[in-house]
Amino acid sequence: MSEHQTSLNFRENAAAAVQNDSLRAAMRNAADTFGTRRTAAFSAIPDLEALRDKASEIRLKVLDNLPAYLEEFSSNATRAGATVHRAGDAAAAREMILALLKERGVRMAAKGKSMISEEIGLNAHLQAAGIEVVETDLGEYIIQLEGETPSHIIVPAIHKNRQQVGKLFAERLGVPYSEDPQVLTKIARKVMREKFLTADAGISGANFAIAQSGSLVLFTNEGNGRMVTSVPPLHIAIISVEKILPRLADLPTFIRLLPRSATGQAITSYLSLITGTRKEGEATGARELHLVILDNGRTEILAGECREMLKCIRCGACMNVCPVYRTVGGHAYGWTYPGPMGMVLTTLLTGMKQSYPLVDASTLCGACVEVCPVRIPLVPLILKLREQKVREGLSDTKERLGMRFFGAAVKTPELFYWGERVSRLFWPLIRTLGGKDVAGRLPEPTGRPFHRRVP
Amino acid sequence: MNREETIALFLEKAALAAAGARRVAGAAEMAAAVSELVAADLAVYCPALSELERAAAAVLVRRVSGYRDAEVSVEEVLAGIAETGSIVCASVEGRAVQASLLPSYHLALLLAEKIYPTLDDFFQSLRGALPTNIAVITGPSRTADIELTLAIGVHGPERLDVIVIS
Repeated sequence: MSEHQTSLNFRENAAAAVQNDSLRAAMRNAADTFGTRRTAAFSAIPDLEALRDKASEIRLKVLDNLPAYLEEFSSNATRAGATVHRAGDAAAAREMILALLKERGVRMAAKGKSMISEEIGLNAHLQAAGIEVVETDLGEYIIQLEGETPSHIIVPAIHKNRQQVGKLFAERLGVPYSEDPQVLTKIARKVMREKFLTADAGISGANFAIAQSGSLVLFTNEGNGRMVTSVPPLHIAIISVEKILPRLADLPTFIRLLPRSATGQAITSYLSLITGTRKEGEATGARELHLVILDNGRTEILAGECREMLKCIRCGACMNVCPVYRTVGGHAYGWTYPGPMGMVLTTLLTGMKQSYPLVDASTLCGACVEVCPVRIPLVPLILKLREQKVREGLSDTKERLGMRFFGAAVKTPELFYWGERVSRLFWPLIRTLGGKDVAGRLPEPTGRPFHRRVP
Repeated sequence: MNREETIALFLEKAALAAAGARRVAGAAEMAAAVSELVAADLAVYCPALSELERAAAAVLVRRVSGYRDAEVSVEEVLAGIAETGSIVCASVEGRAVQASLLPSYHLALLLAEKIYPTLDDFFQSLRGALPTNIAVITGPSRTADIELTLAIGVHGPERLDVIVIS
């Protein structure tokens, strides 16, 4: 597991985030932009609901037959020249990748965006062993320069504004200050080109792994994903077990859904299919390809009642529409994955004890369920996790007592009736004693409750 | 979708993805378009592996042998996809997929009959053992990583033009 999990401090993190004006402004801008773009992108798809059904069905089929598909993927990838490794947990994956790099004397690795690498804390591990790791995605590069972690799974530096990026580049790269994204992008292009051409190894993730052909599929816009997977002689890809799609013919469904859900694009600039290593007569392709397939608790999730979380294709649409994410940003969640998918996945992957405050990070409004391209029932999953939290005795004592009291009261109409009367009677006292933190959040009891006004 | 509709859809979708897309009739018109689009002082990589590429190479002024040092890459691409306005490059026929990635201007030559109407049509056409690299390319390299503001030309080409030849 990534070492620096602060999910237990979610409330404190969130409280600090809402005081951060530049973060709030950045998140507001992001939410509005994403919303508009996504809506526009899907307006051209007439049978969106059928497409979502199909995508969900394919993902469920993968989960139902995962060991067989993994076997098929591994054997086809091996036939195409790749070496397949299975890693049970984060530590095993980190060690495996470090050993591969060390054995080959790699000093510098160019890295494409990979949330799995964030999940296992790969960069820190490699850097501690003296290997330079350069993040090549612009957003990832920005946060690497700043020493931060991603706050969004698609747009990692979404919490930063252009002035902050301009200042960072000026300070760290010695370039003249500019806050024009086009100028800043050109600076990154120049710095990075050198890195691509001299890197001893490329490290990437993948969006999907095709069982039928043993191929990796990467959706990218910048071109860095294509660079790291095809320019250096050694390519190491790290994927998690559930990234499988059965067949190439399944891809169009996900091409139609993933970029639209993620960034509002009909398709990303680049879609790369990587199948094994350079074959005879080919002018490009890595000479050596290692695929590290990570479990890290997923097989266990698959056996549990929250298995549908593993349908997730990491589009980030749920966070873009989530009122909690939009208010507090991604860092408050305290681990790799933020937003609705993040609160569920983090709890499942790191354990309830490490993350239980996260299960409250939802208003249960259901906006995430509305946009999820693979129909993950996020609200029911969140409710299941809340139940689990209570079962494990991790809920607040006062909350538990309050709920028990309320539960008893609503079961008995007389008690409920008297509760209403009494609370009205004592309201001035409650308000005076409770202060704005308690009484300020409660609705004032009414003299004539709604249900008595309806005949 | 008939052939004409497929070509029209391809041109429309490619333009939506910020690629310059035009249609010409025959190799002579194509060569004229190439010399119009590629400024004479630029270093151009053109592998001249196919008939179309040889016709293009004939009008290029400053050809270089490697794509790494080229400012422009002119090459025939394997396929087009009308649904998304995409072109497809792959590591076949001794081709380097990076020729469509490293130079800042990529000029693709695409035979009209190689345009598939939909993504499904294209992926169904992939049979047998796949080449190591297949790249489906739609418009120039781009990012929105800073304030979700679109910037063109990050690590790949900042300009992509497609000439459809019928």
